Amino acid sequence: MSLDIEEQYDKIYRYCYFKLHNREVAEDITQETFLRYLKNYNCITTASALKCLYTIARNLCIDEYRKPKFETIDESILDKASEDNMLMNITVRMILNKFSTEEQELLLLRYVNEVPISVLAEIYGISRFAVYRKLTSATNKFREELQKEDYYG
Amino acid sequence: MDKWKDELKKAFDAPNPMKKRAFLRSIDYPKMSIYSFLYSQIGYIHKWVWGISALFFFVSVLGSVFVPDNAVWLISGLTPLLALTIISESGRSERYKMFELEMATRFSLRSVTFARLTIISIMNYLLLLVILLITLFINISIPLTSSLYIVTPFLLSAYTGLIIVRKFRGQEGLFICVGVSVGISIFLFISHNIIPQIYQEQYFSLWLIAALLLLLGNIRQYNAIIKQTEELIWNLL
Amino acid sequence: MELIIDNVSKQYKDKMAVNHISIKLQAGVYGLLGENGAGKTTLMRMLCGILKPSSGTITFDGVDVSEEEYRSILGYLPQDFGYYPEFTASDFLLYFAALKGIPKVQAKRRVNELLSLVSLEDVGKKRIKNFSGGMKQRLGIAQALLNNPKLIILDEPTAGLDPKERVKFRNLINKLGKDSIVLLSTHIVSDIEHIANQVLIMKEGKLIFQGEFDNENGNLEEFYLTQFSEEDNYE
Repeated sequence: MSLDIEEQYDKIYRYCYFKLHNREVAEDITQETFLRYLKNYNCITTASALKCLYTIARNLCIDEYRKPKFETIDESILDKASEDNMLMNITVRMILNKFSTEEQELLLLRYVNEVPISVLAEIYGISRFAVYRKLTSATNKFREELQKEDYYG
Repeated sequence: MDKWKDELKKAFDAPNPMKKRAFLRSIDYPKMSIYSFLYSQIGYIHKWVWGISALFFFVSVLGSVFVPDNAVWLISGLTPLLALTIISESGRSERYKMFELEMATRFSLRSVTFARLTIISIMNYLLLLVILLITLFINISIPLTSSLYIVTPFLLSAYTGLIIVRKFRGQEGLFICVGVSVGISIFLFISHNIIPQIYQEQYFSLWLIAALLLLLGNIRQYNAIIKQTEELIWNLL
Repeated sequence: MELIIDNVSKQYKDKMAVNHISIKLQAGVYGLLGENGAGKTTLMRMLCGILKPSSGTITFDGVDVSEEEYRSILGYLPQDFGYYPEFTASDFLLYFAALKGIPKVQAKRRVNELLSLVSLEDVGKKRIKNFSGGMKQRLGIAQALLNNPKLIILDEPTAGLDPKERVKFRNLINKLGKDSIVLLSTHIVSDIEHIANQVLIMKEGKLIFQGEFDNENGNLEEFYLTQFSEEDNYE
C-alpha cells in the first residue's frame, strides 16, 4: 500500500468536485472511489495505486454525469463562506473558463493535486511526452492570461 | 512556489468536505502485511547485534586464513559470543519497560519478539553456515565432522542463555548470560588442549546427539519465551 | 460502539484484585476513580488484553479482547512506560506505528500530526531521555492515539502534567469522547470533574458507584469521600 488515504481524500474530493460541481455528490463519489479502491487488491499492492484511484474516480464521475437527474447547480456555492472565496478567485476562474475541460483537468491534476506526469500518462493512456506538451502549452496560456489581467500587479 | 500555481490552486478550491472524518474512521485501512512488519522490525534490532555478528564473521574468516590449524577451536570459542545476540534481544523490551505498551498494540509483543528472534536466529544460522563453508573450503584437511564442534557449542550457549533470560529478568539476566557465555567460551578455547579426548572420533555420535537435543531445547525455549509474552506475568501490581 | 465488561474478575492467589465487575460503556468520557490498589490498573490492563481475566468476558462490538481486531481499535497509555534509550520522540511514535500495523507513508504523516497535537513538534528529533516528565507523558498520549482508536484507555494520564498542559489535555479528551470510548483513571478527583460524562468508582476490586455526575448533586470530591467513609463504617 503506497498511499495515504487521508491525504488523498481531499485531492480526490477536489477532483470530483471539479467534475461534478456539487459538494454532496462529489463527496459521495469520493467515498465510493475509496471503497472500490480498497476492495481492489491489485490496486493496493501495485505501484500504480494513484492511477487506480484516479481511474476509478473518473469513471464514477462519468457515470454520475450521465444520470438523467443530474444537476450541476450547487447551492452550496452560494454559501456565505464560499462566496468570499469566489470573489477572490473570480478572475482566475474566468480565465480558466477559456480553457477546455481537458486542459482544466490536466492543470488541476498536475499542479493542484500534484500527480506525477508518469501517472498522468497512465491515466490518460498517452505518452509522457504528450502529457508534457499539453501541460506546457496549457501552463503558458494560463500565465499569459494572468499577465493580460495584470495579475502580477 | 510560483505565484501562478498558487492562483491555480485557489481557483480549484472546493467547499470543505463534510463527512471526511466519519468516513476515514469507518473504513478498514489496508493494514501492514506480516511481511512488511517483519521487515520493519529489522531496523529495530539493536546495532550491537549487527556489530557482534560482523565481528564474529571477520575474526572467523581471518582465523581460517591465518591459523588454519586452530580455526575450528577459534570459531568454536567465539560461538557463545554470537549466541549472545539472540539473548540480548530477547529481553530488551522488558529491560526498557516497553512491554506494557507493546502488548496492547495490534502486532502485540508476541509478534515483535517472534519477529526479532526469528530474524536474528536465521541470520545467526546463515552466518554459521557461511563460516563453515569458508573454513572447510579453505582447509580441505579439516574433516567435515569438525563442523559439529562449532555448531554444538553455539546451540549450548544459546540454550543456556535463553533459559537464563527467562528466569532472571532485566539487566541481571543479561549480565549472568554474558558471564556464562564468557565461561563457555574460555572452556572451548582451552578444552582441546586439556581434554582433547572429547574431540576423538569415537565420540562423534555423542556430539551429534547433543547437537540435536540442544536444537530441540532451543526450539522449546523460543516457544516458552514467546508464550511468556502473552500475559503480563512479571511486575504485578 | 459498545464495550461490554461482563462479570470480570482477576484473582491473585487469595486476593481478588478485581471482583466481578460488569459495565457497558458507549462513546463518551468515563472517569475511573479509586485509591491506589483499588484495582483500577488491573481492570485497565485486562481491558487492554495484557492480563487475562480469571473469569468473565470483555468484548468491543462483539470482538473479544484477545483478538487482534480488538487491539487494532485500542489506544493505551499505561501508568508507567519506558523507551529504548536511543529513541527520539518521532522514532518512538514511528516504532509504535509499525507495531500498530500502520503503513509507512501514513505513519509519517500521522506522527507529525500527533507531535503537533501534543505540542512536541519542535522536539520531535530530540532524544526522549532529555524530556521532562510532562513531555514524556504527552508523548505517551500521542502514542495511544496513533491508530485513531475507538477505545482509549489512559491510566493516570495527567500524572506529571503542569496546569497548562492539563487544560490542553482536557480539551483533547473532550474532543476524543465525541466519537470514541475514553476511560481514564485517576486518584485526583478534580482531574475528571470537568471532563468525564460518567464517573466510575472502584474500591477493593469492586465497582461501588457508576453514573452521571453533575454538579447539582454537589461536589464530586465530597461525594467521593463520603462513598469511602460510608463503606469504611460498615467494616
